[in-house]
Amino acid sequence: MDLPEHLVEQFRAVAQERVARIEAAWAQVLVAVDDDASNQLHREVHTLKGESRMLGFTDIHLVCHKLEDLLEVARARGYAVDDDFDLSVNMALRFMTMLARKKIGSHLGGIDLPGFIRQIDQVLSESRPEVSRTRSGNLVAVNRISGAPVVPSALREKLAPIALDTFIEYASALGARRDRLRGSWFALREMIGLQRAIVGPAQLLKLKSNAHALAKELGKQVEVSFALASVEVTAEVLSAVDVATLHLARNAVDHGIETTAERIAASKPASGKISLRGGLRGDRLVLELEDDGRGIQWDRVRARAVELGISRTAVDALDHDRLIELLCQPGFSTRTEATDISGRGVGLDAVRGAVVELGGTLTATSVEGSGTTWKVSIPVPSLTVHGHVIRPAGCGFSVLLDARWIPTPHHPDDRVLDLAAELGIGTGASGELLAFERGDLRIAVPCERAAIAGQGRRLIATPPSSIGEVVVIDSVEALLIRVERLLAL
Amino acid sequence: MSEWGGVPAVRESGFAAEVTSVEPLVLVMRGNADATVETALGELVEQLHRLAAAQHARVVRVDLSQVEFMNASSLNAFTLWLTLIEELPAADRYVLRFTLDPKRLWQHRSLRTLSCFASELVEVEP
Repeated sequence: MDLPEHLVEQFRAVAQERVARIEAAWAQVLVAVDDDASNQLHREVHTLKGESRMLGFTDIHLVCHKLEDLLEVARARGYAVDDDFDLSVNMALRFMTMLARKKIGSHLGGIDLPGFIRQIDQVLSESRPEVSRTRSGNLVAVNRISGAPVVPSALREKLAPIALDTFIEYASALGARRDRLRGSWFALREMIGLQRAIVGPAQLLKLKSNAHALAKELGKQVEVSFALASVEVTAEVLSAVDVATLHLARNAVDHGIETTAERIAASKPASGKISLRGGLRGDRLVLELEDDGRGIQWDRVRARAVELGISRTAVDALDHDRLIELLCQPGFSTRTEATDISGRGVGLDAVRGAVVELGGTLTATSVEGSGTTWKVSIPVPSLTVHGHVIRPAGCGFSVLLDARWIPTPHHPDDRVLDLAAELGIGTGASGELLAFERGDLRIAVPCERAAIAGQGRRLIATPPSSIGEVVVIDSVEALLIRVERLLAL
Repeated sequence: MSEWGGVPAVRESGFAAEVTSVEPLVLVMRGNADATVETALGELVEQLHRLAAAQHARVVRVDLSQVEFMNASSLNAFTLWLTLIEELPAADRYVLRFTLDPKRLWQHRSLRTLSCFASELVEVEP
């Protein structure tokens, strides 16, 4: 059946607008993981896929389908993708623009669509084939989803300076040497690169269904509400938050929320309430999970502590904070029997372990008869560095100076910092001196062009003692330099 | 900024693209092309296309052998170029013949992808 021409023309125009929006959102997520841009990206592609199928643009539908696969992988990797991957996404968008202009059923000319689809498949097969396809629409922690080996933090710290050196060698190399080093750099980047994720309502949605299912199983009623601001974090933080909130919510349903009969007898609403709220507070992610259940029964906690061998006198001297700490110790439970639901100890030690491992804290306040509020606080490293992007002469890559450095007119007394020479990759003698000051320190860097304001997305975290780390500026890898370390000040 | 045949050269830091011959048309690039050169490269391509169309060129040679790297956004200049060629009447279309460095694997990967876009319009010199 032929479609009315005006509908087809309308689709062509809409498709090209959608492609433009997809392109903008793709550029945005490459700079910094943005939940809104990520969601828009997937929504636009999915919508275009549906529209193209409906209107008989089967080629666009096919490319959309493959693009969705690419975007799923990219999202699972926190949008830390390599050049080939970026190229495939960009080319897919170009393909769709071209296909949208062609008449239905017309000869495709020199377009080798099957060949392009094969190339996408190859990129997909090389990009963590174990990443499972999810339709949740959420950013996910790749390590948990993919089953990819998790690099222990100690090893990660050891490898980070090696990765930094490898990047400098790779980025400054030419010809075959560059191609050879590219593989080493990409392998290290893949292994220890920061995996980005978002903590927000969409990511923790399963907590609701989980709590509802558990409540139903226990013959209880519960309402779960969120008041969460989305925060960009590392996948490790998302993973810890995932573990913590899920365990605490299950705990609340299993131990905190009373049965319907008990609640009615206590003059409470029949349905218990669990609320999860929080967001970024300074440089920490702070989440509070509150229930209106029976609260922690402090006498039972004290009695259990005595059972475990702590003297009655010592136990009586413990305040609620100390009792909470005891409650989070392995093997400590006030339950007389392990349950099928959460077992003895109810995973509080696991919750505390996951949070503490990232330098966080787990605390609680509780009032018997009224409920408990658990508070998870985890430091969140800044994933973006603002500053000045310069192109040091002789380096072959851009460098980011953080925003504490202020551009200033060059003065003859400035300390000349030839970055190419300092990094041992050449000389910047021919460059124009760009001066910066920070407090009493003034430097002049030989550069190929003027500095511009910019921001770098951290790629591989290094300790502050390192001379720098690799960042991504507008989808291009660059080097964040810690001048004071480079000059050993 | 120099120009040849009315096509201005692109000379950004670390990257250069310029027409070095008008008959036959030859575009030579060298250095690293990142997002900062995308606009300038796009403008060069549009002007070079106009020149090629006016000359009824059959082939435009593009020498990438001295290009260290081009990211996806700068490679978009070539898809724009192919789109412009596709829009010409069939008899007026010309071929982009690329010269690559056999040791730079990224060039071959990128050209494979690019040739899917318009296989009849892309040639790679052996």
